Amino acid sequence: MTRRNAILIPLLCLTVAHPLSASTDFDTVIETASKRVVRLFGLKAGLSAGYGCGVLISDDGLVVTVASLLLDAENLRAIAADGTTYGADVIARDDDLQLALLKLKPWPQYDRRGRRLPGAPVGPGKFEYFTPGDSTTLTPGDWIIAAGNPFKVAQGKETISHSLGVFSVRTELDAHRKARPFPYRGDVLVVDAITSTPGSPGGALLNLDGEWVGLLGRIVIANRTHTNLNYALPVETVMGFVDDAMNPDSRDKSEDEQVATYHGIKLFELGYQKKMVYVDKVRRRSPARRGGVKKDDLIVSVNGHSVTDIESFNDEMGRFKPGDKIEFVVIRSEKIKMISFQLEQAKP
Amino acid sequence: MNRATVILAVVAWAGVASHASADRTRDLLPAYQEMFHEAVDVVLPCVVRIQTIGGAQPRFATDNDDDAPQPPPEDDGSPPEKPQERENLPFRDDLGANFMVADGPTAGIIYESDGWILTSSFNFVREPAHITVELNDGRRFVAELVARDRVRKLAILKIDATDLPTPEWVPDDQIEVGQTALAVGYGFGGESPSVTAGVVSALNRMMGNATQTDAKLSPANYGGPLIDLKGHILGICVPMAQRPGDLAGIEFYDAGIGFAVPYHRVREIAADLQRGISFHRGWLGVSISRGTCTIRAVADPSPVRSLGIRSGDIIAFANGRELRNITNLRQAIYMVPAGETVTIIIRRGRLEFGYEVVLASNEELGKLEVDDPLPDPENPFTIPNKERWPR
Repeated sequence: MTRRNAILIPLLCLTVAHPLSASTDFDTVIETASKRVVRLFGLKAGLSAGYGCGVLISDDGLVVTVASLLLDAENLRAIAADGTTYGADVIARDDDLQLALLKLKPWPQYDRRGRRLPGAPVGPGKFEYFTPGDSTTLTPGDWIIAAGNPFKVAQGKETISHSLGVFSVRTELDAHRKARPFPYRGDVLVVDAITSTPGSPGGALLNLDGEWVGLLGRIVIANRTHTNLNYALPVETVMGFVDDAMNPDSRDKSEDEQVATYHGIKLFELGYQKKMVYVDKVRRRSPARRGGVKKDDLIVSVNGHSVTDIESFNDEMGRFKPGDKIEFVVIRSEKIKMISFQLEQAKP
Repeated sequence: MNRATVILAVVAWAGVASHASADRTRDLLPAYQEMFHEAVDVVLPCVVRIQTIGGAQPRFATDNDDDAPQPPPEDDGSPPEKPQERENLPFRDDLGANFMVADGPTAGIIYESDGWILTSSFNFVREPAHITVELNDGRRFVAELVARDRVRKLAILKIDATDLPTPEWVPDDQIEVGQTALAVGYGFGGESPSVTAGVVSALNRMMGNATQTDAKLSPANYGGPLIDLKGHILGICVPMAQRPGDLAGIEFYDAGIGFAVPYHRVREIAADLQRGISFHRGWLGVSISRGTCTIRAVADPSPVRSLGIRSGDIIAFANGRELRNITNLRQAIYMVPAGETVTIIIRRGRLEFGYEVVLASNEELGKLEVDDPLPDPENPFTIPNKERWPR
């Protein structure tokens, strides 16, 4: 047996033991995630961190991240897994979704003598990137891995931090940030890994199969619990934003059209600052009248969502389509009552 | 085969072995995940969604301290304290001025099939006017808050329903440190329950009242169950900290420090709660001088006054713990509700006396009074106007 053969045999053993099939193990998930998340450094002002993360979504350096103050920097930089620094331009931004799309660019380097060198080139085939997975298949209790750079622990070539947790629930975001309502009100993926830390927003949420299912969201306080929420935006929402940003003309405007609904309740709209949801009138032969809503009822909840003022009531009611079943909890002369009826289509 | 080959072969073998175990976790992880789903499905019919209507935000972490009797001002020649700089100040501002109690739905479990719902008293700190309970099958009821335990943070509700499914509880001797624990709640909103996962971190915390877990607990879970992988209940999730107060422990939310009241304690408490007996924080009825455990004033009437304890006495031990300051004393008795017994050792001069004190609720306490100092504090039995006993 020659020496060469002797070396080859063990090597073969290794290859056999390491199948290339789709893997469901944390180490492989982490290995792929760490190459596809970049660390961002930008504007630091006041209490905002000035650093965050972004997810690579193309091989030529498109990065999606959350919209935040750090993107306003002139010298916005992205650091890839191998420690290379790139510059980044914001090419699209959506304040309702609180998302932004970046394009990486070469960042000039300086050698020891202070001579300017061209930075690492950016081009097709340069980066490993995520293709979107499917967030709708997540079930509460599923393993998730959050990949981010909390407290900018990872420096230079070091890998970003990954935290393990489970998917808790998919729910509508109802939150505030720094005493102002948070504009995004759509679905989010709530997780039990702690992602409400400076540096995590913009990172990736992955499932056990290593699929990219969400983008870690900005630090907000949930109105339902009054605690910091650990959540991610579903990847479908994120990619919807990216598609709109890449093809601004193809945006489908017909979706905005909504069929108006009719319930027949007129609310008592007088009041100072906060108007309670008192019923002033119920129209004859209206769905609400048939359901049993009466004048002077105080509506406190719509289909399990509590409503505290007329604005939140209108918000809730705006979500329904004609034919939807509505369940009110009302307070009528100190007693609590449940009322249900079906919405109708509004007549023009 | 030369030596290099042998070494390489060994290395390769080690590689095969380690990859084999990695393969095993590869198979185990999805199965483990599946067990989470199954456990939640088992317990879900017994988990209810609770909504409260009305009520106000509590102002402080330990609002019920406001009801405590106030001692007469200490006259040591120093300028009088501002009223908010009382001894219990460090316990009052922990939550910060901006902390607000949850607005969203909370969770509870069906305790007995004829409409008894067990949850956390945390969900009612706002003193809501109305409470509704929604069962897993979609039925919704108006609930009555029958009684609550402000010490163990439990509460019991009654709804007008029968034949409800009841969950299985894990017997206390079968709970093991390290076993998987899942917390189920409804507080984030959404149709499905929220699930957080962790392990049982410790048993018999908080003077035997709680099982500790690192599953993330927050206002979204309080009142909901902590379950094992069979879907059996390990405890009811509650906020807790080593100090009294309705909101004590909220600051631990999502920190990996969570508590759940286990079955043996639930069973003891629930029977009384069902009869409408609430548990309140227990009081000795003394005011303690700052930085020591010396009694400054004693309430009259109070449990300790009836035993002859007076100003100047030092509480040396409580429930077997040596006390050095008021924080030690609080930690020794914070989990004992009014009506239950605490063992204390009082030091007066060179003498020590042991007592069993039944703690009182703050309504039973009288005004705090400062006693005249003893003629010779070193020797409490010296008769006045007589020469001191020679040493």
